[in-house]
Order: sequence, then structure tokens, then C-alpha cells
Amino acid sequence: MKKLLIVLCLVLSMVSQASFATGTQENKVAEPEKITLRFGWWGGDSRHEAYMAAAQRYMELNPQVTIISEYGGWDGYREKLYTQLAGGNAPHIFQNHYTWLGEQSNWSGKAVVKDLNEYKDLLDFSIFPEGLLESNVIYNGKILAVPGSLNADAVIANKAVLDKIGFDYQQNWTFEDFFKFSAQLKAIDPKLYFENGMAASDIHMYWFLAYLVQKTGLPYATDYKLSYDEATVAEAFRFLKKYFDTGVVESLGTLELYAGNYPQNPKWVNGETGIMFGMLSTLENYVKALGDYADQATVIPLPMLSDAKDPYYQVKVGQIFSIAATATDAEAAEAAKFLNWMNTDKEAGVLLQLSRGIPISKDQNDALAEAGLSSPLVAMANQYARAAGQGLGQGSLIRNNEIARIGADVISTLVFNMTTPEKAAKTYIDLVNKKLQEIKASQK
Amino acid sequence: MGHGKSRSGIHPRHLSFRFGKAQMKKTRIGSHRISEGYLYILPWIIGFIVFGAYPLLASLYYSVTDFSMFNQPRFVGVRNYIYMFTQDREFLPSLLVTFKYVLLSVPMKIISALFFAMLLNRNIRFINLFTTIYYLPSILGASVSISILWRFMFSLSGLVNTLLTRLGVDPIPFLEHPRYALFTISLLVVWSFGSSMVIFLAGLKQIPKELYEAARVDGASGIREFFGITLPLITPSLFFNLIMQLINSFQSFTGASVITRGGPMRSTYLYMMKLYDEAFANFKMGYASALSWFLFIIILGVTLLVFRKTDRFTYYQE
Repeated sequence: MKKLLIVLCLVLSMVSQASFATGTQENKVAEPEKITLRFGWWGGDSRHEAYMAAAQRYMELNPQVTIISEYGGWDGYREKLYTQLAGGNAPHIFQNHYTWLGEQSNWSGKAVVKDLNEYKDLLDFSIFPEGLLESNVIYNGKILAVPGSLNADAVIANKAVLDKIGFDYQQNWTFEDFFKFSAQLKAIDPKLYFENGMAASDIHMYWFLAYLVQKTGLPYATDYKLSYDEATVAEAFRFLKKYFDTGVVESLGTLELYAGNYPQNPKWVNGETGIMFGMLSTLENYVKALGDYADQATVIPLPMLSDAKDPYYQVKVGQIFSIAATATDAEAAEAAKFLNWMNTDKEAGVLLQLSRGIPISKDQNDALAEAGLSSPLVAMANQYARAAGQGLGQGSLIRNNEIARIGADVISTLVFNMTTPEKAAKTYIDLVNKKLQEIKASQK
Repeated sequence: MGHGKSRSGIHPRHLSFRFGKAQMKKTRIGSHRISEGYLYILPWIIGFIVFGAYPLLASLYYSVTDFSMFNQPRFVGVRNYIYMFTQDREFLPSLLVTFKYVLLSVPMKIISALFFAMLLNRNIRFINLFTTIYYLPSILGASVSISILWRFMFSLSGLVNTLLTRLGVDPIPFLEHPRYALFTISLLVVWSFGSSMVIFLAGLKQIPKELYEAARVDGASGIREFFGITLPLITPSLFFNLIMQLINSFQSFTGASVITRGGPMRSTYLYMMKLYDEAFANFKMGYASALSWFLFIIILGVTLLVFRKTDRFTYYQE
């Protein structure tokens, strides 16, 4: 009897579960799949705050999505990213660099980023000017990243310093003027420096290459051979020697300590340097670092040789983002939606402000203007960059780590008086050409 | 065993059978215990194989391949090792800088550790507190945050130069000039002498006090006591610290990388920075693996040399 009761209870419970379950399933509303996305980028504090605010807002609008922010400085970002790509655990969405896409497209026979052609229905490509994607993010017919902003080289100035010499902030100035302005400042106060200065590797990529490109109108290398002759390179090295010897900037040893963190240099913070080289996307950081002098910040045109054959500077893609190939279909689709929202949504544009450069979307630019967040400094710097013309820019070869180190080493030996500009030119050309041939051979 | 019957009437074959059975039972118990032992250490064995042996052997294989992030490993024999010595312009300079760094930092650290160990080898109040305070830097070590602090302390506008300026001394470019940078980086390592100090302290405490009493009776000075008693009797601790510091110093990375990034003028470009650059900046994993195996040979060679040369000078108490 007892057994019979137990069996009866079991059967009844099974039947009732089946009927309730059926009823529940019939009444159940399909919930959107919960997605977690890891989102990585590099930048300074203002960019971190902006992107985290944007991610937070997106999560509020899309409660099924969780975005985990992974951010850091520029220094070491590429090394970390490539290690993650090799290990298959890169963030689902990560900031990329347009000069890295070429090698990523050839990565060991496998794709490390998604081809965004597959998400054309989720990404609005109409906001991009013609040719922008083709010249920056498309390789072998695949769209490897989507730009969110435009960027350009810029020079920020501290009026509290330059007013002392009656500086004309609209003037066009040349590389020779570095010495004139520096001498004027030193005559007033020897502790003042005309420029905040950069580490040797950045001087190599910016001032040194700018001088060579403006002088010759040639790109860095042609068919894996340095484009410049010994005389021209020696002239560029003579400029750099004088640049340090006359105290336009602090000693190279001091500047190296602030590599990647130039706004932290006490000379800049304390208002003892006149200008700093940067980009539209870093202007905000540099202004913030000025502290009490922030309201004295302005921008000036970029230096140009009087007989420049090419302006060198260019308006280029700013931030670009890729979706990791390891993302699942659902993750990649959501990532594409998030990227599109950041690129096109007005609220997103206001949240991101100008931390990434100038938004590509006209609607976002208008929203920033309406919100009073357009930066006159960024607008002016953008204007100066466009007025300079679309130059050759840096390209990818000078960013090769080994070539960058050759440049930094030769500049260091020159500045520390271990060599002459003429010998430095010969050494530089020999080493760079040798390295370019190695790079060429490794790509076969 | 013989083949004849024993006096007990039991055939030896039976005896051997009985003996074998007992032995087998013993062996079964023994092998059971051995298996149990392996089971207990299995997690460690798995960890060692996965995180120790496999990466070690993999790096040996990669060192003879052309392997970057962008291609599959391709066997090239000893080409990486030949490239190291014949074509890599940074290899020998970084090795030289590392040897200089080791020759600077190891003696300074050992001497500092011994000095403070001798100071702490007393029976006074709060001695444990003092020992803890002197040990704390070795916990913090040459970490990233301490390295950043070091940079701010020793830069031209840093704390040290500010104090020097107040004393009427011109600022010294501790980190900005090749002449001083390596020494300043070495100080970061010397600062964390705590762990070596503790080893020395243990060694000092084992020296019989009667030896010092007898020496004092004979009129020995403090210096004579140190060279005649203390130093000989702490040679085992000295030997241990020397080996450990040599191995660690050859593998130093954080301080130079964070503070000076190998500059100025590569004067602090240590071997490990070179290895890191090849692996993670240039993505040449094969070549970086070859560099790491060469470093292993260097450290092994130096260690064996120290073992040989100091063997006669190391006194072990019975």
C-alpha cells in the first residue's frame, strides 16, 4: 500500500510538472542573450573617463550587455595586444593602429581580427569620407577596423611663457625658428625652455622625419631602401645637434624619463616650457596637465621648412577599433552594434567628447557644438593641420621597433657628443638599410 | 638456497615461496605507499610539467627556429645563435652592461646586508622591530611602483637633487647621464637587501660566543674579530647569498625598464630588456628563446665558477 502511494505521488508530480512546464514555456518571453564584451584601448585619463562613461551608457541602454573596460597607456599597449592576439584572448573590441593592420592581415595564415564586411548591416559606413577606409583599414578586400575619429599633429603652446617674448601665435614658423625663440626665452630666464621636448625615439619619428620629408618630398623608404642621401641626413642631424646644444629643450637624459608621459614633465606642469608637440586627441590631456596655466593654453601652426617640398603632416584616421577574430558570432554582432553606436549616436558623441580626436560623424560634431563641448583649441589645431596640406606622414616603416631603436640610438650618440652629424648620417643610413633588407627578406 | 631438504622437513622451494610471498606482500604494500606518495605530489608534478618542463623544452625548440608572432616555427638550426654574435649590434653591449650591473650591485648588496645583519645581531630592546623595518624594502623590492618612485627621487628635479641643492651642491644627473645611470639603478636592488640580511643574521647567530670571548681575552680588536672569526664562520651564508644574488642580478629587468628604459645611451640596457624587446616588441620569439638559453649558459657558467673558486674558502661547522 505504501509502495502504491509512493508510485502514485511520483506519477502525479511528473504529470503536473510536464503540464506546468508546458504552460510556462508557452508563456515564456524570449529573453535576449546576455553578452559580455571586453573593451580595450590606450590613452590618458580624459580618454579613459570618456570611454567608460560611454560604455556605462551603452549598458544602461542595453541591459543584456556587460562591457568590461581594459585600458592603459600607449606604452607597452602593442606588446600586450599582440601577446593577447597570439594567445587568442584579446579583448572582443580593441583599439588598433592603422600602421599595424598590414602585419595583422598576414598573421601566420590565420585571421586575428574580424572582417567587418560581415557586419555591414550593423555598421554605418556612409559616415566615412570617400577613400578613408580604403587608404587606412582595408587590406586584401577586408575591412579590418572601423575608424571613429580623425586626428592630426598639433603644437600646443603656453601663453604664460611665450607672451614673455611677444610671440605671434598665428605666424608660420620654420625649424630654424626653434633657435631664435629659444634664445629669446633664455635671455629672459635661463630656466625656460622653448619646447617641452620628446624622447629620442619620438624625435626620430616626428622632428627628424619631418625635416627629411619636407626637405626632399620623399617618403621614408622606397623599395626597402632609405630615400635620403648622406648629405640630407647629416643636415637633419646638424639641426638636432643644435636643437639640444642650444637648450631648445632639456637634456635628452631628462626627456627620456618622461617618454610616453610628456605632460608629467615638471617643466610643463610648472609653466616653464613654451610648446609641446602632440595630436588633436592629446590636446585635452596636455591642457589639463598645465593646471593653473590651463587657461593660457593655445595652439600654433606646425613648423615648416621655408622651401618644403612636402608638408609631411597629415590629417589621418584617429582611433580605429577592431573586433577580435576569437569573438563568437553573437559577441561580434553586439560589438559591431556598440562600435556603430559610438560612431553615430549623438549622446555617445557628447560622452566621448574630443578624447579620440574629431568625430567622423557630422551629427556627433553638431551635437558637441550644441552641448558647448567643441574645443576651440582642437578646431584651431585641425584648421592649422588642414592648412598645412595633406603630407606623406610617417608611414609604417619608421614605426618598426628595430628601426625606431636605430634612430633613437644614433640620435643619443650624437647628442651625447659620441659622434658627429656626418658620421651619424653614415651610420644611420647603413644600419637602416641593413634592417630594411632584413624586413624585406622576412616578408618573403 | 640449497636444493636439499632442510632439517625442518620443509622443502626450500616452499621456503622460498613463502619468503617470496612475504616479500611480494611487502612490495605490494611498498608500491602501494609509493603510489600514494605520487598521488599526493601529483598536483605539483602536473604543475611542473605544464609550467616548468614544457615551456623549458618548448623554448629550446623555438631557439633553433625562425618563429615570430606572424609565422609558424621553421627550423633554422643554430642560425639564431650565429646571428647573436655576428650581426646583432645590441647583443654584446647589453651583455657588457649586464656584467657591469652585476659587478656593481651584487657586492654592494651583500656588503649592505652583512653590515645591517651585524648591527641587528644584538640583544637589545625592539630588535625585532628594527629587523622588520630593515626587511620591509625587500618585500616591496624593485617593483614597478618603487621604480617610479626611484625615478622621481633621483631625477634632476627630484628629492635627492633638491636636498643636494639646499646643501650647496650642484644637481647630479643620476638618471640623465650615462656615467651615473647604471649605478643609480643598482642602488634600487641594493635597497632591498632584507632577504640577504636575514640569511646573514641566521648565520651570525650560529657563531659560538665563546670564540669572541676568547678573542677578546687575547686582545683582538673588532676588526680582527670580524676577519678572524665572523667572516670565516659565515662563509656558508655568504656563499648562498652570493649565488642567489648573482642569479637574480643577471635576470634584472623592472628597474631599468621602468626608470630609464635602457637609456641614456643604452647605459642601462640590460640583457633581459634586450630579450624582452626581441620577444614582445620585435615579436621574434625564436631569437628571444636563443637569447634566453644563452643567458642560462652564462648564469650556469658563473655559478659553477663561483662553486669551484669558493669551495676552499667555505667553512662548514660540524
